[in-house]
Amino acid sequence: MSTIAGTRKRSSLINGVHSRARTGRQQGRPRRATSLKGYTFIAPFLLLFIFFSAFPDVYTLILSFQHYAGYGSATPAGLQNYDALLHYPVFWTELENTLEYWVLHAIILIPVAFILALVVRSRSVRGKSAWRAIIFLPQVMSIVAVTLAFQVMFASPYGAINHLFGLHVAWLTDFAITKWVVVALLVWQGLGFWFVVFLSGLTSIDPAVEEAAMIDGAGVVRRAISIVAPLMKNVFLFAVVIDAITSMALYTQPTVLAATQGVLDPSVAPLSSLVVVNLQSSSFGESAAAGWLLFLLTIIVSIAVFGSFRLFGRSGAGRRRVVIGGRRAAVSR
Amino acid sequence: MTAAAERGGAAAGLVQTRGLLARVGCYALLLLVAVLALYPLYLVIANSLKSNTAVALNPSGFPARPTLSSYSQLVAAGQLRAFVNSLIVASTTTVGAVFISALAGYAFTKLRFPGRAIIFAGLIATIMVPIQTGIPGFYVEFAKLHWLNTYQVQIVPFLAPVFGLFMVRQYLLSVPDEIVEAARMDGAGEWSIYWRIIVPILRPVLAALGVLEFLMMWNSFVWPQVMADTSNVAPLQVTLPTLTDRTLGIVPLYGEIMAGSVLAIVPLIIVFLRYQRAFVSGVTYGNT
Repeated sequence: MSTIAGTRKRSSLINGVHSRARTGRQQGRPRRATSLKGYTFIAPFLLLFIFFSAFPDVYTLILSFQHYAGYGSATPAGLQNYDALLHYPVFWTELENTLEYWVLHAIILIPVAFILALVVRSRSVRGKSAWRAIIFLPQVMSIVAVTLAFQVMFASPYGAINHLFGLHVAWLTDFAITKWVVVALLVWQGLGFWFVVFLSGLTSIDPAVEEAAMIDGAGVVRRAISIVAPLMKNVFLFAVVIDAITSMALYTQPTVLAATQGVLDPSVAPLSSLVVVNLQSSSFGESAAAGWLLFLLTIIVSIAVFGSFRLFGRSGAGRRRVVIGGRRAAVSR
Repeated sequence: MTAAAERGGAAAGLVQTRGLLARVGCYALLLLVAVLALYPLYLVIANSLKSNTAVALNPSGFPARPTLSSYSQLVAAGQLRAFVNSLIVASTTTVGAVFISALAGYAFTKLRFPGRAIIFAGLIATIMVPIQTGIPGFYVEFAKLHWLNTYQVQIVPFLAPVFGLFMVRQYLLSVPDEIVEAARMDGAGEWSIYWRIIVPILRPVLAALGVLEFLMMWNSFVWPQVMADTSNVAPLQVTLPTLTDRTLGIVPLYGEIMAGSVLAIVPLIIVFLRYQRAFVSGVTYGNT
């Protein structure tokens, strides 16, 4: 949509001045020389993209309808690979794991990041840039290194946490608990990122809006929920959608954290590990089917998030109107 | 003092107390978050200065006798090679991807050619495809071309990042076309417009993109794990979790692993300190 607006705006000096005399049909057309330059400039990007991203994705789709063991020729398989995956109990366990990791970390991560942004922005806090740098710091630590640090923290029986508090919790071998360690790791890693995103979103809010509410006696919490949060709706949508999309492809953290001797127990493995596990056992067809099911899941989840935001967003806007109405009432009184 | 003033004073006192409480609450929360944010970093550094056995005995405290033995064992285990591999892959990809995205982003914004909008929309639509989706197809096809366990298999597929293209284009949309048109009227060719006008304008967004790309490449794990896990080309991120005792191969050598983690963190911290502003603006880009 922005492209259309952009094209119209681009009725440029050259085209605008010279071609005004020409026919309208010619005006919208680029000259052949500039077209050629355009294609030349995008060629490296486009060719790399087609050969190394688009083609493998499409070839994976083809492969997912074939049996192929890495040697000989591939034989057609119809939907057998998909059928096999869906009848595989591990598939459903790992699907559930991926969804659990996503939901559990997101409902903690996003509100906490928002609250931290509010706190750092608030007038009663000094040294804002120092706090900002500290909270952002986890974002600049290597994911694998940090996951290994969590392994040292939560190892049992001799991990740092057990040692520090005199506990005997089997953090990484009792898988019901391990899931929560993964969630903690995801929150820890994502906090700095979303904190900075919310902080920059907050700067775009007119302070006068909040001051008006403050004069009317709206408390900090009330202002945050009824005024600031609805104004930040788009930032929340962005955060939830991007976080959901990246969560579907989650792989590194649970794998590095909980695998023993390179093998990850399916009860903590994310869905994406089906791609890797099948590939490593040379079941390329099933690996490919798993890859496309993962893509399908990503699409479904993003649509669901968009849809629920539309519902939620409407009720949020309604609440805001009530508050503003209340403010008017308070002023007139 | 009148009763009203007294009441006013009491109210002001109440407000002050509440303000003080809020302030204490804010700082308490921030302090808690700061401790939680820094603790793993402390743990990595402290444990890297212990021997493997000392980590097992005392995983949380300061090193009783700080030693560099874990570092020397890490070097003896050939992990410096993995570190260099990571550096080669991440920096090459960053430079290439920034250059290629800038070129394409410029063309998609300031040059006109048939199919421009459709191609761009098609590229953006693929942003939702998880990295794992292409892995099986890529693996099967590029195994035949003998690309597995090479540097190029880790570099070339990441030279055309769609998010980079998007960042450059978003930025250039706010740059008036008249700048380009004026140069074109003066007879400047597209190449010199690109180098002399567009690249300088793009400098802040290219810095942000470069930092993001470096961070992403430095963190890549599943791709090299599948495509390049032999010790001559594998990055540090893939080799670190596999550091186990040489005899049985099951006990993780946490001293060495933590020393390797320091190596894995240092380049990012350097990039962060050097390009802090670009870092933060890179992170918040999609948001604006």
